[in-house]
Amino acid sequence: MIKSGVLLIIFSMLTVSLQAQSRLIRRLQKETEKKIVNEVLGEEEKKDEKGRTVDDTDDRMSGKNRKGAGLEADAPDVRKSIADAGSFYETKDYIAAKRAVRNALWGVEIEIGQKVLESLPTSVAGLDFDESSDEVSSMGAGFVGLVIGRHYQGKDDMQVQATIGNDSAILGMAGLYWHEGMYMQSTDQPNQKEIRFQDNRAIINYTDEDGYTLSVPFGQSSVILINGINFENESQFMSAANQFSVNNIKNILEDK
Amino acid sequence: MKLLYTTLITLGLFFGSLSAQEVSKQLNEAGSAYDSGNLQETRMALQQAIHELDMAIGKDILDALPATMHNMPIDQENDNVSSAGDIGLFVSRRYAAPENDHSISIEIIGDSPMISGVNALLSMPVFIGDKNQKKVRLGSRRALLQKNDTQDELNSWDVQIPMGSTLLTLSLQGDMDEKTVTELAGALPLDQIERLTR
Repeated sequence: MIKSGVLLIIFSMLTVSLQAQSRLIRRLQKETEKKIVNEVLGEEEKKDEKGRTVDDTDDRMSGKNRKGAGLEADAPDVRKSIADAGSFYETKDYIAAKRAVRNALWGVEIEIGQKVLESLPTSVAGLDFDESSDEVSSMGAGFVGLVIGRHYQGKDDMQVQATIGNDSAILGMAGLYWHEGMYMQSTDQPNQKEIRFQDNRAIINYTDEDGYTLSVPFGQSSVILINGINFENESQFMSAANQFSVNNIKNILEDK
Repeated sequence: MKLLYTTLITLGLFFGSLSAQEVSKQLNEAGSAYDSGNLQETRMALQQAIHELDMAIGKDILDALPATMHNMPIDQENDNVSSAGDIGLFVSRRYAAPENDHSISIEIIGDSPMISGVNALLSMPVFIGDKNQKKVRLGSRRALLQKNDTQDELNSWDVQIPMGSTLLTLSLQGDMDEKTVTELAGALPLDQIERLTR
Protein backbone atom coordinates (compact mmCIF):
# COMPACT_ATOMS: atom_id res chain seq x y z
CA MET A 1 0.00 0.00 0.00
CA ILE A 2 2.78 2.41 1.01
CA LYS A 3 4.79 1.35 -1.99
CA SER A 4 1.81 2.00 -4.25
CA GLY A 5 1.36 5.44 -2.67
CA VAL A 6 4.97 6.39 -3.26
CA LEU A 7 4.93 5.10 -6.83
CA LEU A 8 1.63 6.90 -7.45
CA ILE A 9 2.92 10.30 -6.31
CA ILE A 10 6.20 9.91 -8.17
CA PHE A 11 4.35 8.77 -11.29
CA SER A 12 1.87 11.65 -11.11
CA MET A 13 4.65 14.21 -10.69
CA LEU A 14 6.57 12.76 -13.61
CA THR A 15 3.43 12.66 -15.74
CA VAL A 16 2.76 16.34 -15.13
CA SER A 17 6.31 17.31 -16.02
CA LEU A 18 6.42 15.09 -19.07
CA GLN A 19 3.11 16.41 -20.32
CA ALA A 20 4.46 19.96 -20.05
CA GLN A 21 7.60 18.94 -21.89
CA SER A 22 5.76 17.23 -24.72
CA ARG A 23 3.46 20.25 -25.12
CA LEU A 24 6.50 22.47 -25.45
CA ILE A 25 8.17 20.15 -27.95
CA ARG A 26 5.00 19.94 -30.06
CA ARG A 27 4.75 23.73 -30.11
CA LEU A 28 8.40 24.14 -31.10
CA GLN A 29 7.98 21.54 -33.83
CA LYS A 30 4.89 23.31 -35.19
CA GLU A 31 6.61 26.71 -35.19
CA THR A 32 9.70 25.29 -36.93
CA GLU A 33 7.62 23.57 -39.61
CA LYS A 34 5.74 26.79 -40.26
CA LYS A 35 8.97 28.78 -40.63
CA ILE A 36 10.43 26.20 -43.05
CA VAL A 37 7.28 26.25 -45.23
CA ASN A 38 7.31 30.05 -45.29
CA GLU A 39 10.98 30.10 -46.30
CA VAL A 40 10.50 27.51 -49.08
CA LEU A 41 7.47 29.36 -50.49
CA GLY A 42 9.16 32.73 -50.05
CA GLU A 43 6.36 34.06 -47.88
CA GLU A 44 6.97 36.44 -45.04
CA GLU A 45 5.13 36.17 -41.79
CA LYS A 46 2.44 38.80 -41.31
CA LYS A 47 2.84 40.71 -38.09
CA ASP A 48 0.39 42.85 -36.19
CA GLU A 49 1.23 46.24 -34.65
CA LYS A 50 2.79 44.50 -31.61
CA GLY A 51 4.97 42.27 -33.75
CA ARG A 52 2.89 39.14 -33.15
CA THR A 53 2.35 36.70 -36.02
CA VAL A 54 -1.06 37.10 -37.65
CA ASP A 55 -2.71 34.04 -39.21
CA ASP A 56 -4.42 34.03 -42.59
CA THR A 57 -8.12 34.69 -43.05
CA ASP A 58 -8.86 30.96 -43.40
CA ASP A 59 -7.28 30.31 -39.99
CA ARG A 60 -9.23 33.20 -38.52
CA MET A 61 -12.47 31.56 -39.58
CA SER A 62 -11.48 28.20 -38.12
CA GLY A 63 -13.10 28.92 -34.78
CA LYS A 64 -9.82 28.43 -32.92
CA ASN A 65 -8.79 30.93 -30.28
CA ARG A 66 -6.04 33.21 -31.63
CA LYS A 67 -5.75 35.77 -28.84
CA GLY A 68 -5.59 36.01 -25.09
CA ALA A 69 -2.84 36.46 -22.55
CA GLY A 70 -4.09 33.65 -20.34
CA LEU A 71 -5.08 34.09 -16.73
CA GLU A 72 -3.40 36.66 -14.55
CA ALA A 73 -1.40 35.36 -11.60
CA ASP A 74 -3.65 35.80 -8.61
CA ALA A 75 -1.96 35.13 -5.29
CA PRO A 76 -4.27 35.41 -2.29
CA ASP A 77 -3.84 38.33 0.10
CA VAL A 78 -2.69 36.49 3.23
CA ARG A 79 -3.28 39.31 5.74
CA LYS A 80 -6.78 39.99 4.41
CA SER A 81 -7.64 36.27 4.40
CA ILE A 82 -6.53 35.90 8.03
CA ALA A 83 -8.56 38.96 9.01
CA ASP A 84 -11.59 37.63 7.08
CA ALA A 85 -11.24 34.25 8.82
CA GLY A 86 -11.31 35.99 12.21
CA SER A 87 -14.46 37.95 11.30
CA PHE A 88 -16.27 34.89 9.94
CA TYR A 89 -15.28 32.92 13.01
CA GLU A 90 -16.71 35.62 15.30
CA THR A 91 -20.07 35.26 13.53
CA LYS A 92 -19.82 31.44 13.81
CA ASP A 93 -19.68 31.02 10.04
CA TYR A 94 -17.14 28.21 10.31
CA ILE A 95 -17.35 27.21 6.65
CA ALA A 96 -16.49 30.73 5.44
CA ALA A 97 -13.78 30.97 8.12
CA LYS A 98 -12.24 27.69 6.96
CA ARG A 99 -12.34 28.86 3.34
CA ALA A 100 -10.56 32.08 4.32
CA VAL A 101 -7.90 30.17 6.32
CA ARG A 102 -7.33 27.82 3.39
CA ASN A 103 -6.96 30.84 1.15
CA ALA A 104 -4.36 32.30 3.52
CA LEU A 105 -2.57 28.94 3.69
CA TRP A 106 -2.55 28.77 -0.08
CA GLY A 107 -1.01 32.26 -0.24
CA VAL A 108 1.67 31.36 2.32
CA GLU A 109 2.55 28.13 0.50
CA ILE A 110 2.84 29.99 -2.79
CA GLU A 111 5.29 32.41 -1.10
CA ILE A 112 7.30 29.51 0.34
CA GLY A 113 7.38 27.95 -3.12
CA GLN A 114 8.62 31.20 -4.66
CA LYS A 115 11.44 31.33 -2.10
CA VAL A 116 12.47 27.79 -3.03
CA LEU A 117 12.40 28.72 -6.72
CA GLU A 118 14.63 31.73 -6.02
CA SER A 119 17.15 29.40 -4.36
CA LEU A 120 17.34 27.01 -7.31
CA PRO A 121 20.14 27.44 -9.87
CA THR A 122 19.25 29.45 -12.96
CA SER A 123 21.47 27.25 -15.10
CA VAL A 124 22.23 23.54 -14.83
CA ALA A 125 24.73 21.68 -17.02
CA GLY A 126 24.71 24.61 -19.44
CA LEU A 127 20.90 24.55 -19.67
CA ASP A 128 19.04 27.74 -18.76
CA PHE A 129 15.84 27.69 -16.78
CA ASP A 130 12.61 28.49 -18.55
CA GLU A 131 10.97 31.15 -16.39
CA SER A 132 7.56 30.65 -17.97
CA SER A 133 7.50 27.03 -16.83
CA ASP A 134 8.34 27.79 -13.18
CA GLU A 135 5.56 26.25 -11.17
CA VAL A 136 4.31 26.54 -7.60
CA SER A 137 1.07 24.81 -6.81
CA SER A 138 -0.69 24.23 -3.55
CA MET A 139 -4.11 22.86 -2.77
CA GLY A 140 -4.18 24.69 0.55
CA ALA A 141 -4.60 21.21 2.02
CA GLY A 142 -2.08 18.68 3.17
CA PHE A 143 -3.12 15.62 1.21
CA VAL A 144 -1.38 16.93 -1.88
CA GLY A 145 0.75 19.64 -0.26
CA LEU A 146 3.06 22.03 -2.01
CA VAL A 147 4.59 21.23 -5.41
CA ILE A 148 7.37 23.34 -6.88
CA GLY A 149 8.75 22.79 -10.38
CA ARG A 150 11.45 24.27 -12.59
CA HIS A 151 12.43 23.30 -16.13
CA TYR A 152 15.82 23.73 -17.81
CA GLN A 153 16.51 23.47 -21.53
CA GLY A 154 18.57 24.98 -24.32
CA LYS A 155 21.58 22.85 -25.27
CA ASP A 156 20.99 20.27 -28.00
CA ASP A 157 18.01 18.25 -26.93
CA MET A 158 18.94 17.98 -23.26
CA GLN A 159 16.44 18.91 -20.58
CA VAL A 160 16.28 18.90 -16.80
CA GLN A 161 13.13 19.05 -14.72
CA ALA A 162 13.32 19.59 -10.96
CA THR A 163 10.18 18.95 -8.90
CA ILE A 164 9.97 19.44 -5.15
CA GLY A 165 7.05 18.18 -3.10
CA ASN A 166 6.53 19.27 0.49
CA ASP A 167 4.12 18.67 3.36
CA SER A 168 2.05 16.02 1.70
CA ALA A 169 0.47 13.14 3.56
CA ILE A 170 1.46 10.82 0.75
CA LEU A 171 5.07 11.99 0.86
CA GLY A 172 5.02 11.38 4.60
CA MET A 173 4.34 7.77 3.80
CA ALA A 174 7.36 7.81 1.51
CA GLY A 175 9.53 8.47 4.55
CA LEU A 176 7.96 5.51 6.30
CA TYR A 177 8.63 3.44 3.21
CA TRP A 178 12.32 4.23 3.49
CA HIS A 179 12.61 3.73 7.19
CA GLU A 180 10.84 0.39 7.06
CA GLY A 181 13.43 -0.81 4.58
CA MET A 182 10.77 -1.78 2.09
CA TYR A 183 12.79 -0.39 -0.77
CA MET A 184 15.50 -2.96 -0.13
CA GLN A 185 13.03 -5.72 -0.91
CA SER A 186 12.36 -4.44 -4.39
CA THR A 187 15.79 -3.61 -5.73
CA ASP A 188 15.80 -6.33 -8.33
CA GLN A 189 15.47 -3.92 -11.21
CA PRO A 190 18.71 -3.32 -13.11
CA ASN A 191 17.70 0.23 -14.09
CA GLN A 192 17.13 1.36 -10.53
CA LYS A 193 19.50 1.62 -7.61
CA GLU A 194 19.89 3.20 -4.21
CA ILE A 195 22.60 5.81 -3.82
CA ARG A 196 23.73 8.53 -1.38
CA PHE A 197 23.04 12.02 -2.61
CA GLN A 198 24.41 14.92 -0.52
CA ASP A 199 24.14 12.80 2.65
CA ASN A 200 20.61 11.66 1.82
CA ARG A 201 19.40 8.28 0.71
CA ALA A 202 18.16 8.46 -2.85
CA ILE A 203 17.01 6.32 -5.74
CA ILE A 204 18.21 6.80 -9.27
CA ASN A 205 16.56 5.07 -12.18
CA TYR A 206 16.87 5.08 -15.93
CA THR A 207 14.42 4.29 -18.69
CA ASP A 208 14.82 4.81 -22.43
CA GLU A 209 11.62 6.86 -22.50
CA ASP A 210 12.24 9.19 -19.53
CA GLY A 211 16.01 9.23 -19.18
CA TYR A 212 17.51 9.55 -15.69
CA THR A 213 15.38 10.28 -12.64
CA LEU A 214 16.74 10.91 -9.17
CA SER A 215 14.35 10.81 -6.20
CA VAL A 216 15.56 12.19 -2.88
CA PRO A 217 13.07 12.05 0.01
CA PHE A 218 14.08 14.31 2.91
CA GLY A 219 12.75 15.63 6.18
CA GLN A 220 9.39 14.38 7.34
CA SER A 221 7.35 14.88 4.22
CA SER A 222 9.42 16.23 1.34
CA VAL A 223 10.98 14.91 -1.81
CA ILE A 224 12.99 16.32 -4.68
CA LEU A 225 12.79 14.66 -8.08
CA ILE A 226 15.33 15.52 -10.75
CA ASN A 227 14.71 14.24 -14.23
CA GLY A 228 17.36 14.50 -16.96
CA ILE A 229 16.62 13.82 -20.60
CA ASN A 230 19.26 12.97 -23.21
CA PHE A 231 22.23 12.93 -20.85
CA GLU A 232 25.16 10.85 -22.09
CA ASN A 233 25.57 8.81 -18.94
CA GLU A 234 24.88 8.60 -15.21
CA SER A 235 28.00 10.56 -14.34
CA GLN A 236 27.00 13.50 -16.54
CA PHE A 237 23.48 13.46 -15.09
CA MET A 238 24.72 13.26 -11.48
CA SER A 239 27.03 16.18 -12.08
CA ALA A 240 23.98 18.21 -13.16
CA ALA A 241 21.89 16.92 -10.24
CA ASN A 242 24.59 17.99 -7.78
CA GLN A 243 24.03 21.60 -8.74
CA PHE A 244 20.83 21.42 -6.68
CA SER A 245 21.45 21.79 -2.95
CA VAL A 246 19.11 19.63 -0.89
CA ASN A 247 20.32 21.40 2.27
CA ASN A 248 19.27 24.80 0.90
CA ILE A 249 15.82 23.50 0.09
CA LYS A 250 15.59 21.79 3.50
CA ASN A 251 16.42 25.07 5.22
CA ILE A 252 13.82 27.06 3.32
CA LEU A 253 11.13 24.45 3.87
CA GLU A 254 12.30 23.91 7.46
CA ASP A 255 11.76 20.21 6.96
CA LYS A 256 14.77 18.50 8.50
CA MET B 1 -28.30 14.86 39.61
CA LYS B 2 -28.44 18.65 39.69
CA LEU B 3 -24.74 18.71 40.49
CA LEU B 4 -24.03 16.42 37.53
CA TYR B 5 -25.91 18.70 35.09
CA THR B 6 -24.17 21.79 36.50
CA THR B 7 -20.78 20.11 36.09
CA LEU B 8 -21.56 19.03 32.52
CA ILE B 9 -22.77 22.50 31.51
CA THR B 10 -19.70 24.13 33.10
CA LEU B 11 -17.39 21.68 31.32
CA GLY B 12 -19.23 22.27 28.03
CA LEU B 13 -18.86 26.03 28.36
CA PHE B 14 -15.21 25.63 29.34
CA PHE B 15 -14.33 23.47 26.33
CA GLY B 16 -16.49 25.62 24.03
CA SER B 17 -14.63 28.78 25.02
CA LEU B 18 -11.31 26.90 24.95
CA SER B 19 -11.93 25.92 21.33
CA ALA B 20 -13.01 29.49 20.46
CA GLN B 21 -9.83 30.81 22.07
CA GLU B 22 -7.78 28.24 20.16
CA VAL B 23 -9.00 29.38 16.73
CA SER B 24 -8.56 33.07 17.54
CA LYS B 25 -5.15 32.31 19.09
CA GLN B 26 -4.00 30.40 16.00
CA LEU B 27 -5.21 33.18 13.70
CA ASN B 28 -3.40 35.80 15.82
CA GLU B 29 -0.25 33.69 15.80
CA ALA B 30 -0.50 33.27 12.04
CA GLY B 31 -0.91 37.02 11.56
CA SER B 32 2.06 37.87 13.80
CA ALA B 33 4.29 35.22 12.25
CA TYR B 34 3.40 36.43 8.76
CA ASP B 35 4.14 40.05 9.69
CA SER B 36 7.56 38.99 10.97
CA GLY B 37 8.25 37.07 7.76
CA ASN B 38 8.16 33.61 9.34
CA LEU B 39 6.29 31.70 6.68
CA GLN B 40 6.66 28.22 8.20
CA GLU B 41 5.31 29.43 11.55
CA THR B 42 2.39 31.05 9.70
CA ARG B 43 1.74 27.87 7.83
CA MET B 44 1.65 25.73 10.98
CA ALA B 45 -0.67 28.15 12.79
CA LEU B 46 -3.05 28.21 9.81
CA GLN B 47 -3.05 24.42 9.59
CA GLN B 48 -3.88 24.26 13.29
CA ALA B 49 -6.67 26.81 12.80
CA ILE B 50 -8.17 24.61 10.06
CA HIS B 51 -8.07 21.68 12.47
CA GLU B 52 -9.89 23.68 15.17
CA LEU B 53 -12.47 24.90 12.65
CA ASP B 54 -13.06 21.33 11.49
CA MET B 55 -13.76 20.34 15.08
CA ALA B 56 -16.32 23.17 15.38
CA ILE B 57 -17.94 22.19 12.06
CA GLY B 58 -18.05 18.54 13.17
CA LYS B 59 -19.83 19.54 16.36
CA ASP B 60 -22.42 21.46 14.32
CA ILE B 61 -22.98 18.38 12.16
CA LEU B 62 -23.52 16.20 15.24
CA ASP B 63 -26.01 18.78 16.54
CA ALA B 64 -27.88 18.62 13.23
CA LEU B 65 -28.28 14.83 13.30
CA PRO B 66 -31.52 13.41 14.78
CA ALA B 67 -31.68 12.58 18.49
CA THR B 68 -33.11 9.13 17.72
CA MET B 69 -33.24 6.90 14.66
CA HIS B 70 -35.67 4.01 14.30
CA ASN B 71 -36.48 4.51 17.99
CA MET B 72 -32.83 4.03 18.95
CA PRO B 73 -31.06 6.59 21.16
CA ILE B 74 -27.62 8.04 20.52
CA ASP B 75 -24.73 5.94 21.79
CA GLN B 76 -22.98 9.00 23.28
CA GLU B 77 -19.66 7.24 23.78
CA ASN B 78 -19.33 6.77 20.03
CA ASP B 79 -19.92 10.38 19.00
CA ASN B 80 -16.70 11.31 17.28
CA VAL B 81 -15.27 14.32 15.45
CA SER B 82 -11.75 14.27 14.17
CA SER B 83 -9.69 16.17 11.68
CA ALA B 84 -6.43 14.65 10.54
CA GLY B 85 -4.50 17.88 10.23
CA ASP B 86 -5.81 19.50 7.10
CA ILE B 87 -6.59 16.29 5.25
CA GLY B 88 -10.26 16.41 6.06
CA LEU B 89 -13.05 16.06 8.51
CA PHE B 90 -14.41 12.83 9.96
CA VAL B 91 -17.65 12.74 11.94
CA SER B 92 -19.34 9.62 13.25
CA ARG B 93 -22.39 8.83 15.35
CA ARG B 94 -23.99 5.57 16.44
CA TYR B 95 -27.55 4.84 17.48
CA ALA B 96 -28.00 1.56 19.31
CA ALA B 97 -30.57 -0.63 21.00
CA PRO B 98 -28.41 -2.89 23.18
CA GLU B 99 -31.33 -5.18 24.03
CA ASN B 100 -31.61 -6.56 20.47
CA ASP B 101 -28.24 -5.73 18.82
CA HIS B 102 -29.90 -3.30 16.43
CA SER B 103 -27.79 -0.32 15.48
CA ILE B 104 -27.40 2.50 12.98
CA SER B 105 -24.07 4.22 12.34
CA ILE B 106 -23.43 7.40 10.43
CA GLU B 107 -19.98 8.28 9.11
CA ILE B 108 -19.29 11.54 7.32
CA ILE B 109 -15.94 12.03 5.61
CA GLY B 110 -15.07 15.42 4.15
CA ASP B 111 -12.85 15.36 1.05
CA SER B 112 -13.33 11.61 0.89
CA PRO B 113 -11.00 9.75 -1.48
CA MET B 114 -13.81 7.22 -2.08
CA ILE B 115 -16.19 9.80 -3.52
CA SER B 116 -15.16 9.35 -7.16
CA GLY B 117 -15.70 5.57 -6.95
CA VAL B 118 -19.23 5.95 -5.58
CA ASN B 119 -20.07 8.66 -8.11
CA ALA B 120 -18.78 6.47 -10.94
CA LEU B 121 -21.05 3.64 -9.81
CA LEU B 122 -24.01 5.98 -9.50
CA SER B 123 -23.49 7.32 -13.02
CA MET B 124 -23.74 3.83 -14.54
CA PRO B 125 -27.17 3.17 -16.09
CA VAL B 126 -27.40 -0.36 -14.63
CA PHE B 127 -25.37 -2.44 -12.23
CA ILE B 128 -24.27 -5.78 -13.58
CA GLY B 129 -23.26 -8.72 -11.44
CA ASP B 130 -24.15 -7.57 -7.93
CA LYS B 131 -27.75 -8.25 -7.01
CA ASN B 132 -27.27 -6.79 -3.55
CA GLN B 133 -26.37 -3.35 -4.82
CA LYS B 134 -28.67 -0.76 -6.34
CA LYS B 135 -29.16 2.96 -6.85
CA VAL B 136 -31.85 4.67 -4.83
CA ARG B 137 -33.20 8.19 -4.84
CA LEU B 138 -33.33 10.22 -1.65
CA GLY B 139 -35.32 13.27 -2.68
CA SER B 140 -33.20 14.90 -5.38
CA ARG B 141 -30.10 12.90 -4.47
CA ARG B 142 -28.83 9.56 -5.69
CA ALA B 143 -27.38 7.05 -3.27
CA LEU B 144 -25.83 3.61 -3.40
CA LEU B 145 -27.70 0.95 -1.40
CA GLN B 146 -25.92 -2.25 -0.47
CA LYS B 147 -27.44 -5.26 1.30
CA ASN B 148 -24.75 -7.14 3.18
CA ASP B 149 -24.60 -10.87 3.86
CA THR B 150 -25.02 -11.68 7.54
CA GLN B 151 -24.55 -14.81 9.64
CA ASP B 152 -27.57 -14.16 11.86
CA GLU B 153 -31.18 -13.17 11.23
CA LEU B 154 -30.51 -9.46 11.35
CA ASN B 155 -30.42 -7.50 8.12
CA SER B 156 -27.39 -5.40 7.37
CA TRP B 157 -27.44 -2.45 4.98
CA ASP B 158 -25.07 0.28 3.83
CA VAL B 159 -26.19 3.47 2.14
CA GLN B 160 -23.52 5.69 0.61
CA ILE B 161 -24.58 9.23 -0.19
CA PRO B 162 -22.11 11.49 -2.01
CA MET B 163 -22.53 15.21 -1.37
CA GLY B 164 -19.97 17.28 -3.25
CA SER B 165 -16.62 16.08 -1.95
CA THR B 166 -18.22 14.63 1.20
CA LEU B 167 -19.33 11.05 1.59
CA LEU B 168 -21.99 10.07 4.11
CA THR B 169 -22.25 6.37 4.88
CA LEU B 170 -25.21 5.04 6.80
CA SER B 171 -24.78 1.49 8.14
CA LEU B 172 -27.84 -0.24 9.52
CA GLN B 173 -28.20 -3.51 11.34
CA GLY B 174 -31.57 -4.86 12.49
CA ASP B 175 -35.02 -5.78 11.24
CA MET B 176 -35.16 -2.96 8.68
CA ASP B 177 -36.35 -3.67 5.15
CA GLU B 178 -35.30 -1.71 2.07
CA LYS B 179 -38.19 0.76 2.34
CA THR B 180 -37.38 1.56 5.97
CA VAL B 181 -33.70 1.97 5.15
CA THR B 182 -34.31 4.46 2.32
CA GLU B 183 -36.83 6.37 4.47
CA LEU B 184 -34.32 6.63 7.32
CA ALA B 185 -31.59 7.78 4.93
CA GLY B 186 -33.93 10.28 3.27
CA ALA B 187 -34.93 11.74 6.64
CA LEU B 188 -31.35 12.79 7.44
CA PRO B 189 -30.66 16.56 7.19
CA LEU B 190 -28.56 16.03 4.06
CA ASP B 191 -28.83 19.61 2.75
CA GLN B 192 -27.65 20.99 6.08
CA ILE B 193 -24.76 18.51 6.29
CA GLU B 194 -23.70 19.36 2.77
CA ARG B 195 -23.79 23.06 3.60
CA LEU B 196 -21.64 22.46 6.67
CA THR B 197 -19.02 20.41 4.81
CA ARG B 198 -18.85 22.44 1.61
